[in-house]
Formats: sequence, C-alpha cells, structure tokens
Amino acid sequence: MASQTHTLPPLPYAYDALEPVISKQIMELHHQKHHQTYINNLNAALSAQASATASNDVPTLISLQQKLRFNGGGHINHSLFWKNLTPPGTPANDIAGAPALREAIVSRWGSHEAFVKAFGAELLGLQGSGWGWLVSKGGAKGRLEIVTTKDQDPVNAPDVPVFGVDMWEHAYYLQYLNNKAGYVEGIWKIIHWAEAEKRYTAGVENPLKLISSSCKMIDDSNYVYEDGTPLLSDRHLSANDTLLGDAQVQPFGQLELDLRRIYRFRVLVLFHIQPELMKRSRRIALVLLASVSRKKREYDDIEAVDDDDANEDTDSGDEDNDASEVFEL
Amino acid sequence: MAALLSNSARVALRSGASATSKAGAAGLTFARGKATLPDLSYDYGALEPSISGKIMEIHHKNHHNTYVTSYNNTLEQLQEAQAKGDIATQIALKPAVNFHGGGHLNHTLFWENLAPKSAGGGEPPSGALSKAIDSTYGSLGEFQSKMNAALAGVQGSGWAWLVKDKQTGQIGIRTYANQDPVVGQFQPLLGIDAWEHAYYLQYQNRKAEYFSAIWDVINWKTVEKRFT
Repeated sequence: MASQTHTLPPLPYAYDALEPVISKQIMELHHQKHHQTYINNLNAALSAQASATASNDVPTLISLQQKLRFNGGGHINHSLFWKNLTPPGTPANDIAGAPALREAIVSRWGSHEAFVKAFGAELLGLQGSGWGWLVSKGGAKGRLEIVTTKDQDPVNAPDVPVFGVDMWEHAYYLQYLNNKAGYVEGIWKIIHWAEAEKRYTAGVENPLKLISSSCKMIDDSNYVYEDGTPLLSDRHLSANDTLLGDAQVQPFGQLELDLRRIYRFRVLVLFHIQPELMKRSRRIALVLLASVSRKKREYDDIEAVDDDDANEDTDSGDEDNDASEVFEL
Repeated sequence: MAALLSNSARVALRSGASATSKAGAAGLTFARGKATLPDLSYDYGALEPSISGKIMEIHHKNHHNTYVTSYNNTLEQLQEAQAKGDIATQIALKPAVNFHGGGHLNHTLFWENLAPKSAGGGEPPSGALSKAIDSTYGSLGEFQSKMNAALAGVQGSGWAWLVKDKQTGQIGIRTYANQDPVVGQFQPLLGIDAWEHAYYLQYQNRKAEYFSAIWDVINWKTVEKRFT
C-alpha cells in the first residue's frame, strides 16, 4: 500500500519568488525540510495506525492520535499556506481580485485597514508556535473571524481557512530574528487574494480530506466524515482536486483510467477503509464526478486544460460522451 | 533593602529602551516588584561552538528582555486591577503572567545552568546528584539520551527539564509547553530551551544536533546546587 503515502506538494512558485518578504533560504528549508518532515512523520504514523488497526490494538491506536494531529496538521497547514501566498506585485496579490471577501471584511471590521490591524494584533499575541488564520465560520461565505491555532492544530471543518500565516519561528527567524511584527507586516505583500476569494466563496479544496479514512456511509449514497462533513460537499472539489479511487480494485481501476483520460485529474488512491466501503468506492467516485460536473465554471476550466493538451489525447473527441456515460451510471 | 532598590533602578534604566512613557511614570510606584534582565556570568561568544555568540546575544538582549518588559507591563495592569478590586481583569491577566513571567523565570534558570567549557561547562555531575542520575537512569549518558528524546518530542515551542519531585525527592524529566514554568510539585534542576529561537540561526531544522551539542556547556555545578 505504498501508494497511500503522502508526498510533498511542489511549490506553485520558485523558492526565491517571495523575496524580499520571505527569503529563498527560508523557503527552501521550510518546504524541503520542515514540511517534508511533517509528511514523513505523518506517513509513519499512518503506517503504524494501519498495523494497529489490523491487530485491533486499541491502546496503540489511541497513542497515535497526537502524532496524527500534529504531523497531519503540519501537512495540511503548510499545504494551505504555500497556496495562499503569491510573489509580490503579481495580480493575485491585488485585493480587487477578491470582491466578495473584501466586502465581507469591510462589513465585519469597518475597513480593510482595521482588519489588517486586528489580524496583526491577534497574530502577535500568539504565545509559542502556531498559526494565524482568517476563517469563514461554518463553511463558505460564513462569518469571518481571525483565529490562531497552536502548534500544528489545523482549522477544523466545517470552518474554512481563507488564508493562513505560519507563526512558527522557523517561518521568519533567519530573516526577521525576533522582529516578528516585521514579518506580519510584510506578509500582506504576498497574500494570494484570488485564492482567498476562492476559498471564501467556494470553500477549501483539501486533499487530506479526500483521503480521510474516517468517513462512513450513512445511507446508500451519502457518506460523511467523522465530524459530520459530507464527503460529497462541493467545497472539497475543484479542478485541482485529487479524486479518489483504488487502482487495486478492478472496477475502480478502470474508472480511474477513465477519470485520468477525461479530466487529467491526478487520481489518488486511497480507500484502505472498511471492506464494505471498498465495494462502494466506485459509486463514490461517480457521485464525486457528478458533483464536479455541477460546478460549471470549473468544468469549463477542465475542458480548457484538455484543449491545451489535446495533442496528447488520442480520442479527445469522445470526452463529452465519456463524461455523460459516467454521470448516468 | 537599599541595595535592592538601587539595583532595580539601575536595571530599569538599562531595560528602559523599550519602556513606554507610561511604564516610566508608573515605574516609581511599582519599582519594588519589577523584574529585571539578569546579566550573564559569561560572554555571549563563550558558549561557542555549542551555541553561537549571535544566538546568545539575541536570545538574552532581545527575547529574554521582551519577557521582562512584558511581564512588568502585565504586573502593572495586575496591580492596577488589584487596587481597584477588579477581579475579572486579574483573572484575565493570568495567561500573560504565566507566559511572560514563565519566560523570565525559564531563561534566568537556563543562563545559570550553562557555562563555557573553560568554566567547567560539560564536566559531569558528582556527589548526590550523580548518584540520583545513575540510580534513576543507569548512567549520565542514558539520562542525556532520554532528555534529548524528550526535547525532540516537544511539539511546538517549549522546554525540557530535569526536575525534582518535592513530594518524593525523586528526579525525572518533564517537558513544558511554550513558557510554562516549572512550579508546584516539581523543582527545576536543569532546563534546555527547545524554542526554535534558541538554535535556529546555527542549526536550522537540525535541532537534534543542538540538543547533542549543548551537553558540552551544561553547568552541572549549578544543577547540583539546585538539587541539594
């Protein structure tokens, strides 16, 4: 089951692209060393969990929870963080590209400036390691709140992390030393407002959500995570999302190929869950697919991607038909 | 008493760079309770190569001093709230007292339990403490590797301490989050700072190397005194 391990997501920009706000050296260490270590430790904890599950070793399962929380949280938080940053001076850094979010911020704090001030104060008040977040409570387009989470605690569903700022010393120390106020001040020059708008209006695509092994079936076609979040919630899906499947289950393996062909999705793997759910996994993917299709704009994006590399596709003309067939199943 | 007061005044001047005018005015009233940044008994560069001079300088002059300043500000607010009989504010200030006061206590103990090699840093403990370590952990080396494991296991910022249980007299290793101080049932004997600011400029993410190197500058004489 090596395919179930998590891997380091590539940065969406070069290591030196966030300079002068965050130095290349910090970005390299932060991504290649710190983030990678969380992933390594998460994979180790998941592997230990799988063994403990197989032997029904409940004390070990319980003792693994904190490692999962810390390292899984570290993986989630950093994955979100890289994507909510953008090189300074890029259009994505213009808050004009986040009209709905800006309106919500102004209505909540009175002005953008007042929000920036409140956000900074909250972050600088954090005692020890942790993260500062702008959060949409209860889901997309919810009430905005500034929150901090300690160590690597993530923002839990249904709350949506609109953007996060890493307040661990390793995130700024080589450049700012004890002047963390300087770091917090500079971060506004690299906040990815377009990504923030997307998360605020449509929720967060969270790859780790999709590979959660804690979802359960509540009736024939509905699945929820342990916390009650619907597996098929639209906010988990976007053109960049990984869909799930299990190439080792034959029917699903075929579906995975179809999905790859049609959508260019990286289809990840996972369903090392209950055997009962394993049988259902094909159906889950189909519903996921249908859910994606409802999101017309993103569907168009996907088609645009397909058009771009149509030369690689031997039967691109059949794509729409393929999709229809899948949806009708 | 006169000596104490003049000492306070002197240090208030020294740490006054970051004090606000409000703190300056209130200083007259509350000077008696003010915390002050202690001097180090060695030079900033004296712990090299285990801890660089730059780390020591920033850690002492900036980080520790900020805990001192913030603790004093908190104390002022606390005393104002006490004077007014404002219980709610006194309770609300507890986390700040714990964090900034703890930061001041922890760092003060930390500087004292470090020493340059030329001043005995790294020389193994002797006497009753040595016996307690051997009987509890088997050997000094075994204790050090357990302490290093505890340090490596700190998730986020914090400290690992060799402590003495005041009830039983036994020694043990305990970790504390952030700046939580060793108070109550346990008495601090030896503390090692596992915050990233304690090592990052020199060791970056290789914190195990820092935990391993710091034993060369541990002042076991101080630890023995705390133990007995």
